[in-house]
Amino acid sequence: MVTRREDLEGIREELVFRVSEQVLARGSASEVLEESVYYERKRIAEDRGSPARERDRSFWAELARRLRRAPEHEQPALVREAVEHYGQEIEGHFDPRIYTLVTKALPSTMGVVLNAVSPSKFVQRFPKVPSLDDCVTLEGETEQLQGLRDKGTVILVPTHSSNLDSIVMGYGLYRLGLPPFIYGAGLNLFHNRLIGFFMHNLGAYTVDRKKQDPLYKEVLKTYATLTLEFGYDNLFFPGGTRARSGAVESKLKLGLLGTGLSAYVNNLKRKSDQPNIYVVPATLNYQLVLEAETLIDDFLSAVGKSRYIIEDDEFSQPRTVFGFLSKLISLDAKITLRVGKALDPFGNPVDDEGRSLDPAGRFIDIERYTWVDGRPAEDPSRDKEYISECAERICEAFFRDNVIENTHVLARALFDTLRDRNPQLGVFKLIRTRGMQDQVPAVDLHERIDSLLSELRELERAGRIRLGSSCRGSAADVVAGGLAVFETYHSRPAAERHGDRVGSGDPTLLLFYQNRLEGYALGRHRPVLTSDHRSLRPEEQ
Amino acid sequence: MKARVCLLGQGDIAHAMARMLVNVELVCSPEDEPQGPTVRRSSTWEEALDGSRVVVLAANADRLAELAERYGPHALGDHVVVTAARGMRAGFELPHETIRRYTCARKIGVFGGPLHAQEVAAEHHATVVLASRFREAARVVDTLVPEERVTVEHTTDLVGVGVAGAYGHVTSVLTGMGQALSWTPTAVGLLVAHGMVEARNLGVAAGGEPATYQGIVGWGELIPRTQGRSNRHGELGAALVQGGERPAGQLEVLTTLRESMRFGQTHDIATPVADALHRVVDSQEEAASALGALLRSPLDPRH
Repeated sequence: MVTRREDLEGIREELVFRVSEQVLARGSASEVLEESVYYERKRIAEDRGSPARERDRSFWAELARRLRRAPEHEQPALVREAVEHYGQEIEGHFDPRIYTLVTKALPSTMGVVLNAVSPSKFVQRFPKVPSLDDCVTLEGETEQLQGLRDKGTVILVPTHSSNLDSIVMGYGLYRLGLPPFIYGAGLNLFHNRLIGFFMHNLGAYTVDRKKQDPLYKEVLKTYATLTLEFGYDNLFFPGGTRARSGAVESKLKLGLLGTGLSAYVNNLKRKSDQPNIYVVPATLNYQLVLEAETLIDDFLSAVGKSRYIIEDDEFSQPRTVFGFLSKLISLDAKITLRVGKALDPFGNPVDDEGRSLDPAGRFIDIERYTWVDGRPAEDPSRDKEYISECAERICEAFFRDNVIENTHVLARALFDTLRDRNPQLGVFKLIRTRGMQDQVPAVDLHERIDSLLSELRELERAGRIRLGSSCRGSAADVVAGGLAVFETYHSRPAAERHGDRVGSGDPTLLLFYQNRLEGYALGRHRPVLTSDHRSLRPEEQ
Repeated sequence: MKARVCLLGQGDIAHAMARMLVNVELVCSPEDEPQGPTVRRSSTWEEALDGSRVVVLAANADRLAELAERYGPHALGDHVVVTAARGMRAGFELPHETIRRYTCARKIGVFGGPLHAQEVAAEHHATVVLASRFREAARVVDTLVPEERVTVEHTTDLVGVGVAGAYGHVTSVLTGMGQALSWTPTAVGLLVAHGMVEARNLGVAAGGEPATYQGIVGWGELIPRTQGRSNRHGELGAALVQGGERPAGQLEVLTTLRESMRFGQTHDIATPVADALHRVVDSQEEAASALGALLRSPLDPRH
């Protein structure tokens, strides 16, 4: 998505120079390359499905052969070749014609097609043609986001629960009148023909999470840093991968996040006119999550703990994606993109003019955070702390801007009630065995939801969470609405009615949706998840 | 040229810090009285702070917020800010969090361990721990103290050091009470051990590291307290037993007891020490009875 040719060349050149310099300062060229060859051979042997397998295999075989013969003074050139090789793979491509097609024509075309499954909705709204606009709600600090682009470079950091996220984010940015942001997308997404086409042409750069070579990771981070330094806004999913548990991320990956600080320090060092980098948290909130079944199964399975990349989920089946979207529209279900307040790379809030503020709202000269002997400079140990603090502030924003819908409230209330009725069972056993009592009288559930809604409203007043429009009614409305949404999409609904009782068709899905309320100390039950939200607490396993 | 250090605050702690920091140019703000002959008063805040790489907030936990609030408008991002404050504020807020609440400073260091103002002021040897997440803070502080008199160890565990520091006061009260009750050194030692375990349980639940309590900050600080040092909190302990007048001024330990009990309740951690002392302070139970029950309760190192 680097759109200016001169920038593209500048980034390529600087990427090779900078990464080579960094890695050669830490070790000899032969050490660096031997490590790369080792990791890449291992990956190529295991990753049989990769379309670039043959190309990669021959590249690394040839490089290994030349390395064996090259005298020491020629080896740094081979490092530069390896960096270039990785750089070419990572680099994005942007086709303005495809962008125009996607942003202008697709929403309404898709809307009509998707609404074909619900002619009554189409008729009700005629002559207005239903579109994706009806499905995606934008809220929060959108004006600040729009304004900050003139004052510096923006890194948008959303929560991540579905592969639809990058599409929704891209669409949201277009609706806000913003140009496309650069973003890194998993290489596996490029293998999907339809999505891959758009990914390629809308400028996503590739992130291959199977590549463990430290040199690759360095190239990736430096590429992102350089795009920021060249003034291109970026989008990262700082959780690193889709949240398997369904909960809001409470621990972030610091690698890509750190590129913001590096870019800021480099901007200061070369006295850039517009050095500022802004980090803007955002939440993507779904009443239903396309890949919920796969994600929660992965979370719960022992295998899941080591499966970082899922290539065979619902997103890989276009028919399922289509069915999911059409059901969202037919239900008036919402996807809410909520933009949070912007931060600087140190985690301080910034005002609409892009000025950093201290806790009392006073302006701060943030350049002084970067000083070493009175000048801006990088200091890896110090910067790690700054990045870590920024990550904490982002997580806080995720929790504050988490938009809760009826599906989450219903799931939480039902799950809590089932835990009450099966106190001898830990969560894992409860969802696997369903317990002795797996249905709840609707009256009891309403009572529980009333109490939960009161707690949530209190939290919302304190600015610690957001309630979506589907939670504004009575407990009965929440139950009816939540059940209606649940029964439309998943193969077995998370919650379903049995006469005057409510039970769970799929307790693992119930866990997934209730997890969206983890981390708020609601009710009297202990949390289900560990504090990083990446596994069940040991006593619940 | 000597590095400049800005020393903010007054009283015993400021005086002790002035004695501990050598080979530096010490200045204070225009609002502070110079603590000792080596401290020069600046005419403006800018003069005091702009050339200072290190700022010392010399106050106890109750006064720390006020000091940080005064410093806040003048704070700069490259300052290293250190404090020896012990105790906590409402919400289980530890000293480093108080500094963060009122200032833009990030490179914060908190002294812990057996650092006693009177002993430092008398130039006795001291071994202390500086907790900071920033290596720069550790490096800078090392250059400021006389190594022949002060040994500084380093940790990144601000929470562990903060909670241990706050519980240092609690164990001082326990020691004062035990001695006023004429209990044996063994019994007094056991009381302190209970305090230590409780500090550890709370500290770990708050995010501190268990290992912190096994070094200078834990046993290293608490063992000397069994020797019955005379201080405000020890005097409070004696007054609670003998019914005499409580020491004047604010006592950080009262806030520590209240906040520890609250924190314990919300995190499902037993706080028998804080509970017992709170009952005595609140005149709900006689000291001998409350401490007797405490000694009979199991030591519960949960984590």
